[in-house]
Amino acid sequence: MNYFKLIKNGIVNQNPVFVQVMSLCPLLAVTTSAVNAITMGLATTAVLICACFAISAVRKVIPSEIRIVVSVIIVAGFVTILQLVMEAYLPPAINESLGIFIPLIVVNCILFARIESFASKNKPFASAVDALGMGLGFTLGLFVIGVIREFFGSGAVFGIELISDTNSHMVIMVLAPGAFFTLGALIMIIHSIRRRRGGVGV
Amino acid sequence: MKFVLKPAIVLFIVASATVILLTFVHSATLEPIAAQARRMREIAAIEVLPFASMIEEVELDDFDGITNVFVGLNDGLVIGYAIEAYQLGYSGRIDIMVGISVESEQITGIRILRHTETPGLGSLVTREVFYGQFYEAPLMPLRVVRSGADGADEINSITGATITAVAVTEAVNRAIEWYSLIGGSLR
Amino acid sequence: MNLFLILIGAALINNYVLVQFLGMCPYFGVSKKSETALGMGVAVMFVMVVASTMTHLFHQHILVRFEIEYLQTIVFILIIASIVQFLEVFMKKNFPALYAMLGVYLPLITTNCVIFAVTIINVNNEYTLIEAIIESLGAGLGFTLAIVLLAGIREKYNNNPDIPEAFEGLPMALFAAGLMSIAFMGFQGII
Repeated sequence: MNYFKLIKNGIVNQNPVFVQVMSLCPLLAVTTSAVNAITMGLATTAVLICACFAISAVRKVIPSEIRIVVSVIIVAGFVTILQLVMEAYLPPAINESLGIFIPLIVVNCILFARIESFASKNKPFASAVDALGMGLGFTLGLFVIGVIREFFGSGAVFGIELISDTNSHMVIMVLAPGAFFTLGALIMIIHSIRRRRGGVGV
Repeated sequence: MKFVLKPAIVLFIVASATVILLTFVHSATLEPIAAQARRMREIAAIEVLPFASMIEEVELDDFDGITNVFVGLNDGLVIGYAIEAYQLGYSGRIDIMVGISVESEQITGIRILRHTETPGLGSLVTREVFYGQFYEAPLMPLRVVRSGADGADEINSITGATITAVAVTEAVNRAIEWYSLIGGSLR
Repeated sequence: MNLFLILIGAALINNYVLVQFLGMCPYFGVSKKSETALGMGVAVMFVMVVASTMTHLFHQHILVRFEIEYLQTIVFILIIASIVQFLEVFMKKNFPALYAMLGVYLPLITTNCVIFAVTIINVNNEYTLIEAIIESLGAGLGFTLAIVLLAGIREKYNNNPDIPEAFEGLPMALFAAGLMSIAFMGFQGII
């Protein structure tokens, strides 16, 4: 198995944000700043890797009728560990702005899509690499939206102020509607590019 | 029967293993989580009492809206208090730290510890433009005005986030109240 | 706290879909026709109220009592999954008419974050049982309102030849949702 190809597949060809358009909830909710977006992306990646590895490792001993329940338990276990570790070692401000979306990783569609379509059929290491690719692809998507929203909405990138005149900030970009508009515009651009190249849109 | 037994046993093993692992992680992170909260509090207390050479947490009787109090000491003398107060804002609790100087009977600064207000609107209370207004405010009930605050007891609101600005000011007032009712007698 | 305020807050001011971005998958996935959107909305509301009640009782009487709150995520998700399974079997047997209407949406609900979110929000806000039920009812109403409105909008513009090719499908739905979200921000003024 070509691991490089697997990672590229997650980041580019099958990017969970721009190509598959999955997991819209965290994608829209925590992208008010670039830092939030990256933290959320890496947190999701960590759970993805651990869960896919673990589920792939036990895939042969788990009867098929309880496969989903076992996956849910394993995923929820890793999410809880992540929650505790983040609370213990990350600045409280980041934890608060991600808030409820950390426990919500449990119901993240990307996770179950990878478990069902990849981890339950492949070897543990390959599953972890696939998860890494998908996680990074997701992080990239979050990051792009986070940077755009933070720049237009609060005139800053990574909290570094670039436009200090608050009157020229488009506050709506960091509010709820801005999230919809940004993602809509990005998907629109990607669709046009793919169409022009002769492919079909989503 | 065998059809049910195997899944049940596997499920039981997976669930038990997960719970044991979680219990272990939970007990391992218990101390760091508490330490993290304490550290955040102490840093804010030092920031709002810049001229204290050391701070010390004091025992607190139940007082509505006040969660923790530190005294600021200089050469063994109490020179100020850092009071942690909270108030419900627009979308949840806002926790702040208020510094009060014993000598000048003024506020020596406030810091927002925790909030979940709307990014871009309510979250602007964490900018110095807003919280800096409390610096050297007198110990009397403060009030929020729409703009052009000129009285010493007036605080400028934030456009589009009046509820948040009022909540922070109310929490400061709570701290002032605690100081005038109880803080004075602790000296 | 005032129960009415909780209801209005959950349904309109802090609308779970348009303000808090929860339940996005069904919101865009099942909003092509208003009938299916309504079915999904009602099914979500129903499961939400049952799930809130169950998780609240579990949290109060088991997790808090034995000081194992850190198992919250794992316990809640399993409760929700079991409720959905149980409801499916129960409805099929006793209320076939209701099952015919909502049955197809039930499996989709297990991984629907809006249900899981409302149970956690109930705990975070330290709601009583009644308050938790009202919150989940409001959240369900808000979800139904948002998804039915979006479906109505999508039905109107569907197959309109004036829509540029690049906007077709999801981008258009996202822009419509964005405009709805602006409208819902107006509700912030009512408290």
